[in-house]
Amino acid sequence: MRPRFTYGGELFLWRWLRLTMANRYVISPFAIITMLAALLLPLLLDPFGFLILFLDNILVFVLLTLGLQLILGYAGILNLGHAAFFGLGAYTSAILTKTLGVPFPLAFLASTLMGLLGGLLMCPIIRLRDVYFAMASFAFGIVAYVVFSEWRELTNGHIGIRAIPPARLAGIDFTSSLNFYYLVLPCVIVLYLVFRLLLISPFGTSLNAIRQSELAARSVGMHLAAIKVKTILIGAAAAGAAGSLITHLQGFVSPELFNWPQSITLVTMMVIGGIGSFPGAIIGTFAIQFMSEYLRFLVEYKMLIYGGVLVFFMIFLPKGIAGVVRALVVAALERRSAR
Amino acid sequence: MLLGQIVYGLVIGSIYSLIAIGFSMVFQAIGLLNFAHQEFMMLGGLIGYTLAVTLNLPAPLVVLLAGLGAGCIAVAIEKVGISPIRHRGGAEINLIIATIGWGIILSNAAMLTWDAYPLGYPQRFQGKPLNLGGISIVPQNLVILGAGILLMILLQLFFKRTWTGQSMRAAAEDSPTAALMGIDTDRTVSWTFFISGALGGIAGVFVSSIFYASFEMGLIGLRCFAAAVLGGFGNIVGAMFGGLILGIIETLGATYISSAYKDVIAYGIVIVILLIRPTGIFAARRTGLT
Repeated sequence: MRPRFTYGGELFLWRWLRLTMANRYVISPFAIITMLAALLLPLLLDPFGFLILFLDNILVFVLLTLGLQLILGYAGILNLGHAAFFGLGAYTSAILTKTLGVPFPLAFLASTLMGLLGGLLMCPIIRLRDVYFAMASFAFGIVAYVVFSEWRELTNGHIGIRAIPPARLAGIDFTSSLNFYYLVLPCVIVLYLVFRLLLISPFGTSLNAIRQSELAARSVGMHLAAIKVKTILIGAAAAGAAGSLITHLQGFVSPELFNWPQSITLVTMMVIGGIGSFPGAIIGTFAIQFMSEYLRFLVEYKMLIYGGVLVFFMIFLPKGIAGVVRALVVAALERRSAR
Repeated sequence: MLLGQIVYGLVIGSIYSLIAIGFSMVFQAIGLLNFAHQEFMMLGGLIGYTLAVTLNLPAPLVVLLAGLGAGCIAVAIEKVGISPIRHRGGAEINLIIATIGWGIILSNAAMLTWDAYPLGYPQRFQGKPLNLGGISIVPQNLVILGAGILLMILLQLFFKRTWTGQSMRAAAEDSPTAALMGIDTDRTVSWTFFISGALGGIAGVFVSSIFYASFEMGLIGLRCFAAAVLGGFGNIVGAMFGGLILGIIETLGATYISSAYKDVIAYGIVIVILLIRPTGIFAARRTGLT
C-alpha cells in the first residue's frame, strides 16, 4: 500500500526536508519540533537551577553565532573581530540603563543600532581579500577591546560596570532565569526565521552564489562589496542586540568578555557546528559551551582536551557536526529517490 | 634618554623581528595564519629555562638547544596536525582553527609541565650594566640585538645560497611549479615550520631572559603579528624591519604618549597599512586588495 501523504510518489515529509535543505522552504519539520521543544523545555527544569541560567547564556551566544554564520558561512568573510560588536552592544546598554536610566526596550534598540554602527566602522576593510581581511578584523577586535578596557571615564576600565538594572518589558521583570529564557528565546527564533527568509530571497541566492565561487559571482555582475557590507551590518546588529541581552542577564559588563579570544571562540563554534549552516551554528554554540562547562571535572586537563578536540575535528570532521548530519540526510534522501 | 629608549626599542624590536619572520614564513609558504606561532616562543623560553637552571648550560648552548627544541616541536605539529588537513583539501578556516587548537594544547601542556608560575632566568644571563657614552645598557641587551641581527643575516644567506633555502623560496612562490621541477614541497613546508619554530624558540629565550618565562607569555608574541603585517605579510625582509620599527614605536609610544594605548597604536597601524599599502611598507609583490 502506498503511503497516504505523498507528493509525486515522494513522502510529504521527505520532500519538505529536501526543499528546506535546498533553501526553497523557510523552515524544516525538525526546526519546528526543535522550537516547540525549546519553548516547553523550561517546564522540565528547575526554574532556579543552574541549567536554565546556562541555557539563557547559550541562547545569547546563539544570536552571535547566527550573525557570524551569515558573515562567515554565507558571505565567506573570515571575521576575527566579531566580539567587538558584542561589546559595543553590551556597553551601550549598560551605560544607557545604568547611568542615564533609559528603559530596557530603548536601550536594546540602541545597542542594536550601535552594533550596526560598529559594522559600518568595519566596512572600510571589506575591500581586503580573505586572509588580509581576517588580519584586519582581528586588529579591529583588539583595538575595540583596548578602547573598552582603557576608556575609563565611560567604561570604568577593567573593573567594568556593575549593578546594571535587569531587563523590564511591558511590566514584566526579567530578573529570573526562567523569565529571561522567554525573552531571549523569541529573539533567537525571530533571528533564525529572518535569516532563513533572507536565504530564500534573491539576496540569499546571491549569497549562495558568492559562497560557491566569488569569481563566478563577480563575473556575472554581482556587486560583491555591497553584498558583503550588508551581511556584516546584519551580523553586527544581531551581535549588538546579543550584547544588550548579556548585559542584563549578567548584571555587569567587563572588557574581558569582548577580547579577541572571544571572537576566536565564536569562529570555533562555527567550525565545530558546521560552516554554512544556521542549525550548525546553533549546534556548535551548544557543543562548545557544554564542553567548556562539563569538562570541568578534568580540571587542569580541560583546556588540553579542548584543544585536542578542535584539532581532531579539523582533521577528521572538517565540515563540522552539521556537515556530518547533512551528509547522512542527503544519503538517506538519495536512497529514497533511487528506490 | 631618547637614545636609550631607541636602543631598548631596537632590542625589543629585534626579538619581535625573529618572531614576525617565522609568522611571515609560514604564511608565505602555505598561506596560513599560524595562531600557534607565539607558543613556539613560549616553548623556547621554558625549554631554555630548564636548560639554564636545571642543567646549568652556558648561555649560547641554551639559545641553540631551545631553538632546536621549539623547531622540532613545530615540525611535529606540522606533520601531525597541519599537513594532514592540507592534504585532505581542508579550507583555510579549518587550518586556522587547527592552529588555534594546537596553540591551546601547547600552552596548557606547558602549564602542566612547568607549572603556572613565572620563571626568572639566572642572574648570569643579564650581566652588569655598562655605561656607554652616557647611556646605561645591560650587556644582555646588546648581545640580544647582535644575535638577532646575526640570525637575520644568516637567514638571508640560507635563503640565497643554500639549495634548501632556494627550494623553499621556489616552493613558496609557486608550489605546483616547484613540485614539477622536482622539489619535494612537503619537505620545504617542514623546513619552513622548523626554521619558523626555531626562530620563535630563540626569541623566547631572549624574551624570558629579559622578563620571565611562563606558559602565558605567548600573548607577547601575538603582537609580532602586527610587525609581520607592517613589513608586508609574507615578506621576510619586511618582517625584520617591521619588527624593529614596531619595537621602537612601542617603546617611544609608551614613554611619550600612553602605555595603555600601545596596542591601539600597533593594531591601528595594522589596519591602516592593510588598507593603504597591503604589501607592507617595503617591496611590492603580493597584493591584498580584490
